[in-house]
Amino acid sequence: MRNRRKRPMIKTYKKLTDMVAEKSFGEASSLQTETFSEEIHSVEQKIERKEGKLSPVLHVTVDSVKKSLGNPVDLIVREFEFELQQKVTATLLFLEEMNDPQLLNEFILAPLMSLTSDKQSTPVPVSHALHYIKQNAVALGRVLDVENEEELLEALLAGFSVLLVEGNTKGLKMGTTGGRMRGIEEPTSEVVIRGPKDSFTESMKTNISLIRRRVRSPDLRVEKYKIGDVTHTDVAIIYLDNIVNPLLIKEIKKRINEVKTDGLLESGQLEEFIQDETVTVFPQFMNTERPDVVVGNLLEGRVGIMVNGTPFSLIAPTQFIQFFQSSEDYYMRYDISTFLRLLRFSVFLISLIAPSIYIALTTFHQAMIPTTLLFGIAAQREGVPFPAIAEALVMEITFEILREAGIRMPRAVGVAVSIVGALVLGQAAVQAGLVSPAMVIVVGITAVASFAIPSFAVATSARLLRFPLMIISSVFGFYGLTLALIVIIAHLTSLRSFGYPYLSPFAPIQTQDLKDSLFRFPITKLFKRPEKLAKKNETRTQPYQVKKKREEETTR
Amino acid sequence: MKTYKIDIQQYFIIIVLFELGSAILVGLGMDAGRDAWFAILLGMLCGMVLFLGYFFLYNQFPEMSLTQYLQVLFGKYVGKALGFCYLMYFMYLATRVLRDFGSLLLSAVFVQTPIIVVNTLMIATIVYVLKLGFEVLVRTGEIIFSLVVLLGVSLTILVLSADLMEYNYLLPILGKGFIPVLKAAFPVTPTFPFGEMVVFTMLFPYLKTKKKSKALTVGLVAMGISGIILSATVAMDIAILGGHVATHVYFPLLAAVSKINLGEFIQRLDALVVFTLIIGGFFKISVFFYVAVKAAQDVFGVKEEKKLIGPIGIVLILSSIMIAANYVEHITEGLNVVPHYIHIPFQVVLPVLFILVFLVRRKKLKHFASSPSTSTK
Repeated sequence: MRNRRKRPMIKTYKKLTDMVAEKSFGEASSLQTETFSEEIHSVEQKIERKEGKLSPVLHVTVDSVKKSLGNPVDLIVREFEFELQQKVTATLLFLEEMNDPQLLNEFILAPLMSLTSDKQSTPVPVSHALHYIKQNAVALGRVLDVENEEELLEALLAGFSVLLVEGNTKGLKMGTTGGRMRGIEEPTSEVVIRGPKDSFTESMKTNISLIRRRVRSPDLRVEKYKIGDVTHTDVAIIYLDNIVNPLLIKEIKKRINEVKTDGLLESGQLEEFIQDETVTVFPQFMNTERPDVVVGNLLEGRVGIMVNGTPFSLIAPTQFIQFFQSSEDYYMRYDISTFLRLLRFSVFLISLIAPSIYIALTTFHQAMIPTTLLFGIAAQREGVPFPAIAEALVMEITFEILREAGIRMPRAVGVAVSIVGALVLGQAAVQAGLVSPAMVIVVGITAVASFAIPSFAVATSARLLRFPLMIISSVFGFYGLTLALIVIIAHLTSLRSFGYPYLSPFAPIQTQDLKDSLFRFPITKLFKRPEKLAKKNETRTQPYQVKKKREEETTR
Repeated sequence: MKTYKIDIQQYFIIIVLFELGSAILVGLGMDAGRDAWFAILLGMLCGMVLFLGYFFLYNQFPEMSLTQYLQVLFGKYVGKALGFCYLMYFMYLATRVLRDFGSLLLSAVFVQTPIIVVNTLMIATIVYVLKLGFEVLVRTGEIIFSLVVLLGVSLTILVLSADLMEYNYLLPILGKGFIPVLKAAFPVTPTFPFGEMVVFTMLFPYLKTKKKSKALTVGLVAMGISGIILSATVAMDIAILGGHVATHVYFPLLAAVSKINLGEFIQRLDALVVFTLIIGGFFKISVFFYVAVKAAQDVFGVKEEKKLIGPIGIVLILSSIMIAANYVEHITEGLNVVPHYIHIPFQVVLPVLFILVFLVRRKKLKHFASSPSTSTK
């Protein structure tokens, strides 16, 4: 594993030394091993627990909570009384807008306040109050004990409401999480014509449910992690236990546990922490906001990684070819899917090298252009004062500026920018003698091509690589371009995603997997899961067996 | 460090790419006139015999490369000296291909560019790839191979559909008798490209295979396929250009392909051929380069091969310029001097000598051969 990020390790190390200083925690010789850092982690937690035990006196606890949170305006402290053996004071704590008021009122406050001693067969002592409430009064699904202040704070911040009862050293946290979230909508970045129209939202719970609904298998595993010393962001890995390679899971867990950061706001940040190679322009994770894509990948033995707060989940490991596949490919007929995949790949090539080819042709290899066309191009270029490379760079950069402006600008000015843009990139630029018409066509086709690539991530790498390729082909023509492409191919083959070759199934060639790469064979032929990925369970349910069975049944 | 092993499929691809690399462009065996294709097949058969010899040595020392078992066969000092000679030979081969290549580009495209720039760019690319490891080179080879197959198939279809071939040019077969063909075939054709398989004596130990016989068959099949492709290409060149022209053009394939003109639209396909040449040349130089690095590693006892890549690269650039004063000198040397005085000793004489020495000292060496892992350390 080359070039793994060292930073997380160092941070662990720092924390460790603090621990050692404070708690004289054994020898610091084996600091680099992970088991050690895990141990430290648990020790840390234990210490915190000891420190913050809840006080049986109600207002002491409440004051302490208020103090810890800095007495925020959205912390609601609702005091009330109810009756057991005698009158008991209780407090309900919650953060407004993170909880559902209806749940709080109807299922917690209302039943508790109507508690009277005559309903109880035997009078309940105050010390058993929490247990009694949990069993008899609160009509909610998720009710758990809170042992100490640390847990209490955590529960409050995660959107639970917490019930404290006078004379008890425990509290109850109740799942009343609510508040406004964006609903499930159509995907915006991966639009398909045929296929499910739901997409992930910012809430991880919703996202997991979207997957659960599609995979009704007991083998579906969801494991949660918390990342971010400040944000405590939930991260989940999701996989099918009977298909996935256990070593892969181990490696992913290891890398996720090594992440040390302040906050995690988007899966893109996590991606940068756990990727294999930092120095590359190619994306090493596929991201998707479509649940069906995640499920499809789980079935191939890959792993989904979700981050709370973003609709984009990651797929690991990722191969280069996946960026040219769309979920729709599996829903349409195989012939058109194959055609579209080939088209998308050529579109990638066009957006990568079209300007370079134009530059190389006009600068070095004029002999290769058919004569009539050559005359045309030469006539157009006659009035242009710049060499082809300058022309191309100016146009490409102008286009990049327009594109960036197009994303950021408010809608109202949109029309103005597109008019100006059309003038700059079109007729006016040609008439001013700045560029030749042929160049406008080349830039135009490059631009359109880069939008036709289904994955934005891989389109951006083509966008970046275009410029060095243009420069090298302006100096060395096709020779330089060919060598640069060899370098790119070699770089791609050297990449690995969680140990799986990035360019497989092309290099190394895996004949079985080629069936579902640039081509898509009929679904009845795709009964093998990707080689090496699904170690446990390589064969899918085979359509032929099913078919045979059916035939046998009908003949009887 | 774990060494990367190539599987049998990759091994096949390396051989084919290596054989076709630059040989497909230059007119092989053109001294035989219109029977050149036959000379190539003869050369291929001889090359296969040589390959059997190299494989025999590999069989005796299955986990050692040439420069390693030389030290076992001849003792440390003589073995290292011979290894050094082979190191020089591999580097010389890389240099020759590099120079061929730079000269072609210079004469065809970059008339005003100094050759050192063209060669440096090539070596820089190869250094980058080799620094990523042999594994990356092999996998890049796999991608290149599929590209070459694609180009080859489409060119063949185009040539056939353009109806350029005049089969009469190939007749009469063996019109001047057998002697001119034999003269053309020996000794030049077996040495290039088939005899260059001697570099695989350095690569055999990286082969991941359980059955040695399979490696042998696949090797021979790969050689056979590339021989047939080469022979067919030359036959096609002759059928398009005519025996006389084909023998006098430097790059017959380039000339033949540039004749393709389908409906005034598909024409000037020589660009595709140049493209193939560049990637073929790249691959061939890379293999020689890597083998030289490995040889230097054994001879000088360097642990990390990556340290040697840069220095050898620089030596290759410089020597590719100093090797000859001009292209004519370079080509004349290549046709008249190199095959007789360099290729034959290194490809035929020395390996035969090694086999003989092995057979004589077999009993004494048994100890080493059976436990190669101890002797490599």
